This record gives sequence, C-alpha cells and structure tokens, in this order.
Amino acid sequence: MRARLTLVGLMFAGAIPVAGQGTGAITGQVRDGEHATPLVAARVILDGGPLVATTDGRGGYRLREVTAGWHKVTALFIGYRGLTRDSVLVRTGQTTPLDFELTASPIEIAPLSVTAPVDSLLDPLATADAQRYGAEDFRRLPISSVDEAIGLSAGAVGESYRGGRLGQQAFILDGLAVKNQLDASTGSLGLRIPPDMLTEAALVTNAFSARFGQAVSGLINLVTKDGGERWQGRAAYETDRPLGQGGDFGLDRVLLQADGPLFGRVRFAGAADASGRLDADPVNAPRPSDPRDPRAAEPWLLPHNSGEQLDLAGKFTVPIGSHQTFRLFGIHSAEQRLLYDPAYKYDPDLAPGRRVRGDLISAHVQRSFEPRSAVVDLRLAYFVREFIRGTLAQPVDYRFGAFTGKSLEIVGEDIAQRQDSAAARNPIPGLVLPELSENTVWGVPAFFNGRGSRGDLGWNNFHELRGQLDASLGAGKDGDIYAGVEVASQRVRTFQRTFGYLPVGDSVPPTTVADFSPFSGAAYTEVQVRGRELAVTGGLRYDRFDSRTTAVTLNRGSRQSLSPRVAVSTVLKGATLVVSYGRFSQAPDYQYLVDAAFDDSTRTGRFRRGNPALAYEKSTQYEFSLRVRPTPPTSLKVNIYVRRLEGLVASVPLGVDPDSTIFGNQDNGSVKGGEIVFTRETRGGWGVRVSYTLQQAQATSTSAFVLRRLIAIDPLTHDTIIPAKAEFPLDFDRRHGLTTIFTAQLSNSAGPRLLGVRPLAGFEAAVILRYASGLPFSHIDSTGTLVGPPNDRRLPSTSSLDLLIRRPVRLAGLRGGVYLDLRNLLNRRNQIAARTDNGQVTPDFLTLQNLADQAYLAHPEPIPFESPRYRAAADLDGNGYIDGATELKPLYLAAARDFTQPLFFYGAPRLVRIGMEVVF
Amino acid sequence: MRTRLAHLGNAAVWWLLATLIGASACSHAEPFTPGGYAPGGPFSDTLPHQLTYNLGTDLTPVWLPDGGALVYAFSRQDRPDRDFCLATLPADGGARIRTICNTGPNTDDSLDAYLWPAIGARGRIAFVQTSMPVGFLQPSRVAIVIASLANPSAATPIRAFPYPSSTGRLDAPTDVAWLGDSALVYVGNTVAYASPCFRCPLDTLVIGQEVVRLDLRNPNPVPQVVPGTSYASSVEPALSGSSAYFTLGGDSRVYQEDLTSGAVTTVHDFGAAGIARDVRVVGNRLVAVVGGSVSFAIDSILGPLQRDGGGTLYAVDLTSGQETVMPLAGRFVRHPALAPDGKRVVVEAYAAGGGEDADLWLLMIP
Repeated sequence: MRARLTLVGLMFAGAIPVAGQGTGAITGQVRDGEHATPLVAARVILDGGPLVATTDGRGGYRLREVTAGWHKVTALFIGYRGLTRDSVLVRTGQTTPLDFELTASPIEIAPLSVTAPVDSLLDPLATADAQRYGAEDFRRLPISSVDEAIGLSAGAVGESYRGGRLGQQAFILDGLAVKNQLDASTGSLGLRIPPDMLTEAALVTNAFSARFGQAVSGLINLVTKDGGERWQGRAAYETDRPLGQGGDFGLDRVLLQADGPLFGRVRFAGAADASGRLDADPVNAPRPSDPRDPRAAEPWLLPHNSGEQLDLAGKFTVPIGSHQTFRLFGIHSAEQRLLYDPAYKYDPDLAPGRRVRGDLISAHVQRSFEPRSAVVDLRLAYFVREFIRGTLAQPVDYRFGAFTGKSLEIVGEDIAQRQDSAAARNPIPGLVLPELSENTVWGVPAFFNGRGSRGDLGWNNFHELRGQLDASLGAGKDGDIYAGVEVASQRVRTFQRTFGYLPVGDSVPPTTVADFSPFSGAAYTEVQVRGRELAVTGGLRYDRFDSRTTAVTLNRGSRQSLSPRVAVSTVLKGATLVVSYGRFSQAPDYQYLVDAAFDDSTRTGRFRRGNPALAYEKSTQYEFSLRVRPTPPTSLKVNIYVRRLEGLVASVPLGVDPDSTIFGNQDNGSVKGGEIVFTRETRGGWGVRVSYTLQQAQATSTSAFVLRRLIAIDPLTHDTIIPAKAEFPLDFDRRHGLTTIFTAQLSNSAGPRLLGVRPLAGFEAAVILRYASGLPFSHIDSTGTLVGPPNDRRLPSTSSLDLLIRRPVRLAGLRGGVYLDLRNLLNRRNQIAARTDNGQVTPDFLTLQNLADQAYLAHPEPIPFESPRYRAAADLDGNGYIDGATELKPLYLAAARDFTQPLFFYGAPRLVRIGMEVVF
Repeated sequence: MRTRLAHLGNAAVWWLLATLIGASACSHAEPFTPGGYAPGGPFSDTLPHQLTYNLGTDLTPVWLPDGGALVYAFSRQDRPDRDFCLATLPADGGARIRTICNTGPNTDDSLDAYLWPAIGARGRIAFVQTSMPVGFLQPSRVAIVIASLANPSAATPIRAFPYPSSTGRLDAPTDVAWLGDSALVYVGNTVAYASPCFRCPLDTLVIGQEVVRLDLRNPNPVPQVVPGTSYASSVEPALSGSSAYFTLGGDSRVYQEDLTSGAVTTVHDFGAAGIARDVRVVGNRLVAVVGGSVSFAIDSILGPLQRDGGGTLYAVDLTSGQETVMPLAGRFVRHPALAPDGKRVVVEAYAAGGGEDADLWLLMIP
C-alpha cells in the first residue's frame, strides 16, 4: 500500500535537482549499526551491479546516473552482514537519501523490502520545476499519451509551455536529446513512446541542466523502463464501438507491453500501441441549421478525417562485466491521417492526406568508476523523421475500423523523394485541375471544390546521427561535477510544390528543394555544491551550429551561443526557496533556412525566402520558487518567473510584394507569470492536486512588418505616428489556467456485498477539471489587412471535465480490469478559434450575403435540368432551369452558410472509451 | 456458498468483458456522406421529351452498346471559353452521370472541344479533340483520339488534321464510328469560313468530301478513302463491319457499300421528301434526317456545298420500305442516334426559326 501511495505521489512530486534528466542519484551513509560510526570503503551496489559506489572517509556514498525507477540497493562491508533495501524509488534528476546501518556478522540476511523515504518537495537539491507523471498515472488518469500528460502541467497550453511557441521544447529520451530540428514549430517530433513503456514523463520549465540545450521553453523528459527480473506485462483494448452514433468516433486501440529477462543478465522491455479512429480530430461543432445539409442528420463524424498510428518500442539492457551496462533502444512510430478539408466536403476523397514516420535507435553504454564514484555515459543515436503531405493516389480501403494496414500513397511521392525539381516543373502526373464541385447539395458552382485536389505536395526528411558523452564525478559527499560534449551530424532534405496540376511559371511558384547537412555541437560543465541547508548549482553550456547550406548568402557560417545557468536553493523554516537564472538557446528550425513554396504558420504569404544566416533563438529566465508543506500530506509550491525571448524567427517583408518575405531573427518577447500548485498526496484513499497559472506573454517587435500596420495619424496634429516598438500578446498568451486532478481508490473490502461480490471493491476513479482563459487572436478585415495590433482580441474561456473509472477484475488466475474513460464529460462546446473578421464563429449576415453575391456574379448562368447541379426543389417555375437571381441566389446563400460552418472552431466533444485490460 | 457467489459476480464482470469484445466485432458508425442530389429521371414523362435543357449546344449523341445511356457533347456555360465536353446521360434522361473534359493545365484561354464520340465494343471510345485559342478563328489542333472509357483522359491520338487527301485538304472529321473493333470510319470534311452577307459574322462551313476508313491494326493508321463516296454527308457502318451506309450531298438516297467488293447499292430513296443525311441503321430499322432547312449548291469557290440547318426525322423499315415521319413540333433535327433496340431515337433539335442552340430530344419510333 505504501508503495502504491508513493507511486500515486509521483504525479504530485514537485521539484527535481539539476542532475541529468532521466536519471537520479542515491546518496547516504553506511554506518555501524551498533556504534553509529561511519564505515569507510563499504561498497554500495545498485541492482547487483554494475553501478557501485564506495563510501568515503565519513561513510558517505553517492550513486550517480541511476535510471529513474525502482531499484534494489545493497550495502556490503567485510565483517558485516550485508543489507539489501528493495523498492528504492529514484526519480528523474532527484537525489534519494538512503542510509544503511550494518551489523557485524558474516551472514548475509535476506533482502528487506522498504520504501526509501524522501521529501522531494523540500529537498534543497531539487532546483528545477518539474511536473512529472509516472507509469501509474498513465494508467489511472484519463490520459492516453505523453502529450496529454504533459498538457496537465501548470504553464502548458497544448504543446506550448510558459507562453512559448510550438517547437520551443526539446525531448530528452533516457538522457538523450531528441528534437525535430527541421520543422518543430509546425510539425511533430514524429516519435511517440507507448505509455506502457514509460517509467515517467516530466515537464521541466526552468533551470534545467546545462547538459541540455535546443530548447527555450522547456524540456519534456521521458524515461523508459528497463526489463524487470521476471516477465510481466499488460494487454489492453479500448474502443468506443458500443456507444453507437454520437459517441462512436471509430476508435480502436490495442496496447501491449511485456518485459523480463531474456537470457543471462540480458533483459528486454517492449511495448506496442496501435490505434485508429475514423474521426481522428472530432469537433464539437453544432449541428447545421439547414436540414438539407448532409451533416445535419449525423453531425458527429467528419468524413475523410481518419487517422491511424502505430508505435513500437523495444529496449535491451545488457550488463557487461561488473562496471558497465549497455542499453539498446529502438522506437518506430508511424502515423497517417486523412485531413478533412471543408472545401472538399462533397468530394472528400480529394482532400489531402499526411504521413509521418519516425525511427530512432540509440545505444547507451554506462560505465562506473568506483574509486571516485565517477560515471561515464556514452550515447549514440540515429534518428530519422520523414513527412509527406499531398493528394491521395487512391481512396483508402479500411480493413478494421480505421486501420488500413498499409501506407497511404501520395501522388507525386516518387518525384518528391527524388527531389526531382526538373520533373516537377511540369504538372505532376495524377494531379488534376480542381473545379467547383457538382456534387453539393446546393448544386451551384461555388465554394466547394471537386474533380481535382488543391495540388500541394510537401515532403521532408530529417536524419540525425548524434553522439553524446557525459561524465559525472563526485567531489566529495557534498559536491558533484558534470561535464560532457555532444555532436550531431544532420541531413535535411525538403521538397515543396504547390499547384502541382499546373506547370511552374507565371502564377505558380517554383518548386523548392533543399538538401544540406548541418552540423551542431555542444559542450557543458556543471557543478553542484551542497551544504546542510543550501545548494548551489552553476553550469555553462556552449552551443554551435553550422547550417552548411549551399544557399547563397553574405553571412553564412557557424552560429554560437553561450548559456550560463545558476540555481541557489535554501531551506527556510519548513520551506524551501529556489532562485534560478538561466539562458537557453535553440537553433532555428532548419525549414526557415530554406525557401518555402507555400503557407507556413508564421504569417501569411505563399512564398518565402529562406535565410541561411539565421542565428539562435534565445531566452533568459529568472525564477523564484517557494515550496512549503503545511501538513504532512499537503504541499504548496509557488513559482514566479520572468522570461525574455530574443531573436525569434519571423518572416519580414522583402521588397514591396506583400507575398514576398524572408525569415529573420526579428521577434522578441517577454513572459511573466506565476504558478501555484497545491497537492494533497493520496492518503485515506484520495488525493488532489490543484494548479493555477497566471501569465502574460507578450511579443516586443521592432519588425517593420508589424510596425507598418501600427502607424497611426494623430487626430489633433495629424502627424504620422510611427511607434518605436510594438507589443502585443503572443499566440499562446493564456492569462489564467486552472487544473484540478482528483484521484480516489476504494479498498478491496469497500462497498456492500451483492451476490457474493463487492462491486465497488478496488474501484478507482480519477477526475481532471480544467479551466483556461481564452487565447488571443488578431482582427483582420475583409481585405486581409490587420486591424489594430496583432492578437488584440481574445477567445472565450474553455473548460472540461474528464473522468476515468476502473474496476479491477480477477478470475481464474487472470488479473485485469475494465475501465471507462470519459473526456469532456459534460460535452462542453469549447470555442478554440474565431473568425478574424468579426471575432465570432460564423460570419455575420452581410458577410454571408456578400459571399453569396460574389459567387452568384461569378456564375449567374442558368443550370439546366440535365446538369448534375440541377436541384428540382430550386426550380420554382418548373421550366427545367434554375435561373435568375430568385432561384439561384438562395442556393448560393445556403452554400455560403454551409461553407462557413465553424467546424474546427470548436474543441473535442465528449469522447468515451471503454477499455479492458489483462495484466500478467 | 459465498465463494460460489463471488465467482458468479466475477463471472458477470468477465461476461461484461466478453460483451465488450463482442462489441468490438460490430462495425463503427459511419461519417456522413453526400447524397445523390441530381435529378434521377426525365423532366417529363411524355414522349417525345426533351432530354437536355442546356443553354449551350448539345451535339452528336451516341448510344452505349447496351442502350442504357447516351454519350454526347455539350457546351459548358460555366466557363468563359465555352469548352465542349463529352457526357454520359441516362437513357431516359436525368442528370449527366459523367463528364469527360479537357482539364489539363492552361486550358482556360482556349476553346477545347471533345466531339463525335464513338463507343467501341471493347470499352473503347474514339472521339475528336479540337483546341482553339480564344479569339482565333481556326482550331490549332484537330485529332481523332482513342481512349478507354475507364480512363478517357489518357487518350491516344491516331489521326491528326488537317491532312492532304486525293480530293484536297481534309480539315476535320464528322460522323466518327467504329467499323468492327479494329477500324474507324468517318466523313472527311474541308472547313471553310464565309460570311453569308456583307458585314455578317463569318460562318463555319463544314463540307463533306468523302468517307474515310482508318485501319487501327496498323500502328500508324493510314486514311483510306472509301471509293464512290465523294461529297458524302454522313456515314454509318453496318453491324457486321463489312459494309457502310452513307449519304451524299444534295441526294435523297441512302446507299450501302460493300467495303470488300466496293459494290454500292441504294438502300432507300426519300425522293421528293428532300435531301437525306445523318443516316443511322440498326437491324432493319433506318433513320435519317430528310428535307427541312437544307440546301445544296455548287459554290464558285468552295465547290459543292451543302448548308444544313436540320430537317425532319424519318424512320424506315428496311424490310418493307415503309417510311414513318417523326416530326418534332417547331423543330428541325440533326444527327439522330438510334438505340440498339431500334426503337428509341435521340436527336439534336433546333428551333425551326433558328436562334436557339441544340438540345437533345428522345423520340420513340412507333
């Protein structure tokens, strides 16, 4: 029970020190149990080796670079009975205190199972803000991915952290830095770790170790499990099939996990997570008001919006000799999506599809050096990410649910992969010029496309070979020194073609192709010194990258960045205060070094010139963190931070063509905020965590691109006022965020007995309540001109209630359970976007009328009876034609209303998944 | 007892599990799908009835071999260049099922026309492709092409126009039809542009010159003039493929020529009814357009010239020679298509007074 409590407590843990992400440390003293005198040169062995520490002159020892998770620690000294402590929990970046008192005896006693007591909250060694989620949390909370877990953290807005942009975070996978350096700001990492493979996931938002770079917002630290001493595992299946229409979004998910010894001391852990959903991005948009709309009768599922993904992970742990451990880890993630496009509502097969594949294989050798308690880690990794988006070569053929069993074929894929820009000058075979659809319920030629797709084709491929050498050295019991280097050789290949059904020229921008091999390297050193009530950590990191592009520029070459980081923590009468300062930097997305042929998410336009001279994006963060424990089971953490952002990539005008821009390190910003996290650890069957974030994230731009829109005329003097700088909210400036997590578990004897069974026995429940104030958006008028400063309007607030209930089941030796996972239980219709012209979800009537009128003027021709566009009900005079404004305009108006339906302006509806699992 | 009950209770939970597993075998809910919104039948059930109402021109209907649908060419009114596309129309009328258009790149600034479809027995379609830049008088490209009905956009040109012939230059084909499954016949025409009066707009004159046969077994088929077909105005291959029916300019007779021996026989003579053209034959049933707004003269420059504004549809029982006049009130007709059942005829119909573009009408032979 204590172990379970501690497990649950994982998610409430507050802070970690700056040690290497993915690993922690164990420290303590070995004493004579009778006289309490320190035992010098005693050996402390982790999991039977190879990680071993030897006590110093004061009997102290420190085991470094211990993988997060549960361990068995044994202390041995000649003439004394050995003592083994089982179930020692080591958390990422945290030091677990563990003392041994040995008694003089030559006989080794049997292992004693204990849980190492630790109060991480008040530990002055824990200087970083980390919000962590353990394996048990993934099972017990209504979350099903790392992203969802991290999204529960204070300061997280989706995949934006503390007001940062997308892609300003890095992933640390078992101590190895992994990042989609090509297009992190617009694309995913491409790798997903099956939750069952994780020991813990944590979001670190400040003072992270100098060991890690390539991030200015935060680190997502993932620790995978090693194989255990005996085979164990879990199989689960989740679905929403029984819910029928309105609740059935076509979900099927299978999770498998197993780990155990293979042979000798070699262990294996593996997991698979396969899921498919017929509507992979369901929206809670209201039912259309017009009953003729085909969505009106069945508004829940969107066509051509399915998705499937497969994640496979495996890890071999091979102890070599007495001082080394070799780990080989591999992960394969494949995702493919059909992307619903409202313009192709009536010809959905022509809407685009997307495929993303990620593969990572990493090798890790760890060697310990007993005399100085030194540990050296060498990691080598090869990471590949491939992305393609375009027109499907053929409609998908589903085999089971949303599973197709094969890769989507994209038209022109071979040309893109060959980067054949010469061939791509011609129309891409298989792409057809789109025309206005004849298949709409309205018939009229307007708004909706058919016959041909949009003709976009985008492909990119990112390879990275990374080497990372880390060393930690004990400087006595109260000091540690960390140092390391990392190098990464990368290759970037991109291909972008738009209007692929037309030859390049005139209005069709040229195909953009890039192939270059950047190189990046870094070195760091970090020192941690501990006193009784004070800990100081200082680190310095040096980063350098050279894009090595072949593009012509005057200012090409390597870019460098120096990032100092300091944290001081002290204990003040039952509270711990941490003050930290850190500079962080990340290389710009490589996609901004090369030309872009079509829209990116930064701003508008269809062609942008890449800039190989882009430098590091940087941030500087100051933070105060106060942690107190009002009562033994409760804790309170208050963080106040200020973060300054510099040199963020933006696109700036190039010449007078509004569609011609170049990327530059132009935008600056600042984020100020505070976080309060109250935790009641799970005791007496229930626990709770409440986190509140108050934040202001503003951009400070001197970009002419923005200033040009802020020029004003003084009403009195009629002078032209050109502001020196412009400040406006950043895209993820969420002012208020509140997340409450409540967990409860009934004992095995709880509840009344019915038919010899206690239905409520072992019953578990977890509730997540979220409230968030609205994000900002810009006001843009009908001509596409920005009105006022950017992001000067705000969306309404959002809230949701998620619930997971689980009932363990045991029969005939099988253990398992059934669970019900409900997201957005109250089916709240959360608005997550708005029209930029009026701030509403739908256009006002005049806008709608204008759209309809323009469409009518473009095609006022009568529609004859034999045309597929003819709709008998609209032929009011029955003459065989739909003609004239009287008959045609109502159809155009209805079509405009249909086309402007606010589908993706709303978040997800109530989602239910029913699961069953077997544990072995 | 308590243990047994406990097992029962747990069994109930496992039964729930089994139910869930069973539920997984159920199919998922389906996304909404667009319906079929286009008309599914004729505008009017009374015969003859109008099949098309296009404000542009509907031309050259031809039946699919099974008689279930028609293929014809229509002028698009939703594009400024007024392209002609081929379309499939249900036999009894309704909405076009399928269209075949030139949707290639850079087609907005040219009038691209697909005309004279001919459906082969093996799922092949032959038709005439023309392309004319907007504002030009003459097409820049004329060719007979062949494609599969399944993928008509991948058409193969087999005969480009113009080309020199023994009778002069042939500019365009009309009446394209399959002769068996390995040859085509068509009427080779010269095309002239003349103004019928001072400052009148130029009129396009299509002057039939001869019946031409293309043997597709030759990778580069060479046009072969069918002897005795000078000034041909229409051609229709016999079902056997060994002979062809044809009409001549200014002539009221319908001829049949044995393509092997070259022997020509008169099949029917419409006599005083007028000039016969647009002959179609199925079994013992022959239809042709006779009389009406047609004239034949020897032009001092252009030579023999037949101007045709349409006429009256006649059906002939070739066994008895009995004629049936099938007038369409207030309209002249051209280019009839006789269904494989020999009873239904679809024609291009023009207002007798002129001024309207052609629509397709369906008539039943009594």
